[in-house]
Amino acid sequence: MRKILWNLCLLCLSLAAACAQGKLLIPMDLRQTDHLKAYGIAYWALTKGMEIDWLLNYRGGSFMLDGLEMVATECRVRGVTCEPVGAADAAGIYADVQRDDNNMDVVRLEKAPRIAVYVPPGFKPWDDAVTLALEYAEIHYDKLWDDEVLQGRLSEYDWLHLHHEDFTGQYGKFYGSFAGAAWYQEQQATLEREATKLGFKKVSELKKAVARAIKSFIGAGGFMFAMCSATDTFDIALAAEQTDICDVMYDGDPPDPDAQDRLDFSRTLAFTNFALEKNPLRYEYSDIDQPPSDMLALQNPETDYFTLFEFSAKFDPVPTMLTQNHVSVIKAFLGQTTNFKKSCIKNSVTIMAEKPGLDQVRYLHGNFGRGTFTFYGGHDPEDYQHAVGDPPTDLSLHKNSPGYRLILNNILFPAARKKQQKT
Amino acid sequence: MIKGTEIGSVYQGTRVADEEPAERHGILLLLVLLLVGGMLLSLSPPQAISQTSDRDSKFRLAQALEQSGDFERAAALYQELLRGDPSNYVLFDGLQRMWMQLKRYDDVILLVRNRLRENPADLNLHSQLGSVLYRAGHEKEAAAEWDAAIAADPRNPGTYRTVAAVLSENRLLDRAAAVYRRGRTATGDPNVFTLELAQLLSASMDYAGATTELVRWLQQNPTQLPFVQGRIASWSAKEEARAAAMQVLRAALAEHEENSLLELLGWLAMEGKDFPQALATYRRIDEVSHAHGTSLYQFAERAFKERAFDVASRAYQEAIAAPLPPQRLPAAHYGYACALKELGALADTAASSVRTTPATESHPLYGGAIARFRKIIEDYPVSEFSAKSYYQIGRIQFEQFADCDGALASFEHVLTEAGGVPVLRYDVLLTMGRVHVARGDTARAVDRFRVVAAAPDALPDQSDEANFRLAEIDYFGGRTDAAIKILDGIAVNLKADYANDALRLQAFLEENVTTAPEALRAVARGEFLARQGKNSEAVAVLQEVITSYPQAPLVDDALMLIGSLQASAGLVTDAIASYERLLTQFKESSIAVDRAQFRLGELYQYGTRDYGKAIAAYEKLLADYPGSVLAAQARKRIRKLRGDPF
Repeated sequence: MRKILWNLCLLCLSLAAACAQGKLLIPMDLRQTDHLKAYGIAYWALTKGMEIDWLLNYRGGSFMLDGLEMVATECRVRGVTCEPVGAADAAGIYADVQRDDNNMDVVRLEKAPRIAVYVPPGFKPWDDAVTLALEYAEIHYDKLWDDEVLQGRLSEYDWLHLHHEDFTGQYGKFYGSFAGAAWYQEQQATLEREATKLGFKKVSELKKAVARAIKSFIGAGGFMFAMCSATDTFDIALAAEQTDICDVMYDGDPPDPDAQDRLDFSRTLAFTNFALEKNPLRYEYSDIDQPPSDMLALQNPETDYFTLFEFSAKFDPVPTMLTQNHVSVIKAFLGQTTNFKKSCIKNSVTIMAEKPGLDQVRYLHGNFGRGTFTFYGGHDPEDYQHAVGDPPTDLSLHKNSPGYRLILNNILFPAARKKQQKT
Repeated sequence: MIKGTEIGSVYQGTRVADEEPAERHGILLLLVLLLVGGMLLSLSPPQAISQTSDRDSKFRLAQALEQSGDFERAAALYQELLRGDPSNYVLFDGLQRMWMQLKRYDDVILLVRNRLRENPADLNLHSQLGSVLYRAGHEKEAAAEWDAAIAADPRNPGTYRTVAAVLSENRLLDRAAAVYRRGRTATGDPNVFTLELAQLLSASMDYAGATTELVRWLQQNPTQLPFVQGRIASWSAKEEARAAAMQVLRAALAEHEENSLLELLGWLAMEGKDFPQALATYRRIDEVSHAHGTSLYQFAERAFKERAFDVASRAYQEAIAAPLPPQRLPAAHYGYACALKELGALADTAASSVRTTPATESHPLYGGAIARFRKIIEDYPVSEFSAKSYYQIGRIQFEQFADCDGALASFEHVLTEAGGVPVLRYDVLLTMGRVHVARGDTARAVDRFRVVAAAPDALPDQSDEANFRLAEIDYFGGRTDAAIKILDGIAVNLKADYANDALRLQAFLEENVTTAPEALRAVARGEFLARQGKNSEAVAVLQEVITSYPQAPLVDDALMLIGSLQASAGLVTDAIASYERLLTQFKESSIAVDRAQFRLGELYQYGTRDYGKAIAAYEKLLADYPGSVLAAQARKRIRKLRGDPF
């Protein structure tokens, strides 16, 4: 009893200290020295049981925490700018953010999401922008692969990331360029073994089963974030449930001649009415990707940008969270899947960023069942044309990367407390 | 894919002869063609020509449809043509190909079976039938068909190659390997299919199996070690693959020791940086090949370059004891002595910025190396190796033992014995200049540095260093303007290695030359004493500066220097007190406070090993001086001391 009283006293004292110290603001505008690690601080605070207020559209989507010295010290150690704010000033900021005539709002973050990344064994973090960002921001994640997904392990997580995966079973369609490369042959052999081990005759069948399991995870309330080729191949695999789209070098037999007609677009999450790329040697899956992968050389990095849409923070908090940034025009970057053809996107999907004046969407979000999915085109936001074998991106040189910020918005998004829509 | 024109030629059953270059032959050929054409026209009815032309057109149309992806219509045409010419293989193959594309497996099975009735011993047809059956999902029947294909000609290695190729096409890599192994037994030749199996097994990531095959190949072709290394290099970066390969090699060597296998094992050990294992292997290679230490010496050189000094020293020692051929012995002795020197340096804790042991403890660490260098000088006088040995001894004497006289004597020998090599000569002169400064003999030091500064064939870095040292001597001597003038010349090239040092000294001199010239001269005296190793005298001079010129802008620099001298002398508590004093007394005026705070953290971390205080000191640096250039380093140190996983 005495111990409980003692603990209560300690709690009261620390709360009083916190109130007396006011709040700590982590600004996310141009004054922030390390935007990416700022997300790591937010995640770290959540793991310590603290609550965070995400001030949507306030100074680039800043975070407000209790003004504890341990948080300020951790910010300094990680090189994140934070500003102590007195209690009165903090109240002023909250009032300002919640004013009806301001496109801002407060979202309370309560619980650190459990994060899983779908990656093959032997994977290196620098092959994937999201794991690079997670590692840099010091956000814990677990790795899952086909067997864990099919065993139902996804239910242990809130958030799943997919990156440069090929759910169509065509090994990234690298055959035309890398058929003789040791890494390609090994990748194929590994996946074939995995498929056999899990009872599938073909890798494409295994991948379809994995895509179905991930779709069920989303339907049950999971958050899925996909980048690069994991976006379109995921939907292609779902649409191709009843047909064979793989050519002989990928699964040992020719594709179904009627594969295109047998695609079932009602099964997909985001895309519809797309046309498959039937040439097995072409580094492209379908016409979803814009511009096609073999036309990327024509892109000029100096003029390649995409624009974030602005949403109503009070009425559309989810897309607002996902688009928090200190800039609205972002340097583009290429990938096996770079942009999504607008005419292939379902009406139910929210477009969050696009290349203005073109039929090209960069960033989209949608709901399925009780969960959500977000697709982000391109491979590495700070490596314009990331190629096989390129050295890893050093994120300490890109601490303020707006492109990477979009990834990290997605990680904090599941931590948000759901609140009633204002209608 | 076969080109249309080629198929066309095969279908028509004619071959166009190569053109004869000679005109005579051309005329002859024309006459023959006219004759044959006339005979054909007289013998064939017009319908026959029309039919041939029609079938030819249909065949070409089928090819075009196939190329455009219209498999249905192409199949119909091939089928029609085949009906008219059932024995034609090209048409049969075309129809089969189209039906496969259309996944009409049952039709293909029937087609192939019909053809097999006419050619029951056709190995290719049996293999193809197996493939179609497999794709149609009839796995047992497929296996039976492949077995039947093998049974038709079991002594022929080609049989196994054909069947294994079909199995590989269907990604049945394990079964393809089994077929090759079966063929090996059936043909009674244990060495057949070696490379095919190696390729197949490495693609299936059976690295032990692949190595077994490559070992077999190497045993048959001992000169093909580079080829085998090339094959293994595609996967030897993977630890588990390397371990599997080494296990196979060891087993093979236990059965029959061969030089090529030993070489392969040694190479694999080096690939994995397993230097002790590599040494054991090269030792054996040396014995087996009667190399008299040559293999060991070559290995020692590679190990030294990889900074595996311990293993390198052992290898040099054993190579020398072998004994090596006389012409290689001096280099081996020199390599061995250098390895000992590097081992001494690694064990020398005095190299740290915070000394925790007396300097005299360094002596035994380098004793072995010096003895070896002296032995080289004795055994190979007035040679490249004796000069290099003198140079190494001189550097140890100066940098590790502060024995200036001994070092100078050694360097004089180098100049005598290797005077003809300018680059080495200028390095020696620069080091000798530094030794003279350490002895307090600036006149001689200037002589040395001027030679290098004026030498047209000196490297740019050597010239810059010489000029920088000359500027330092002017500073020590109170000739500040002269020093600034020299430093101007170095700092102009910002890419030069000495540009930063020059800029730092230049800024310090320019800041104090007008505001506190007396104090500047006193600090220069203190620094000069410190350069001579007279730390306590230097500290006394610098303390006097702080007392006498408390308002001088260089007071904080003097305190920093005092702290540094105390730290390097192992006086950790005194050093902490000096930095604390700077942080309290000069907090507002000094620009060195962040450096002092960082040094404080270092002293707690490496001096007193009080990690809690070290973390607190680094955290204070981050809190009080967030813009410091040392902030990133302080962050790293905190993370390391806290044991953070990231």
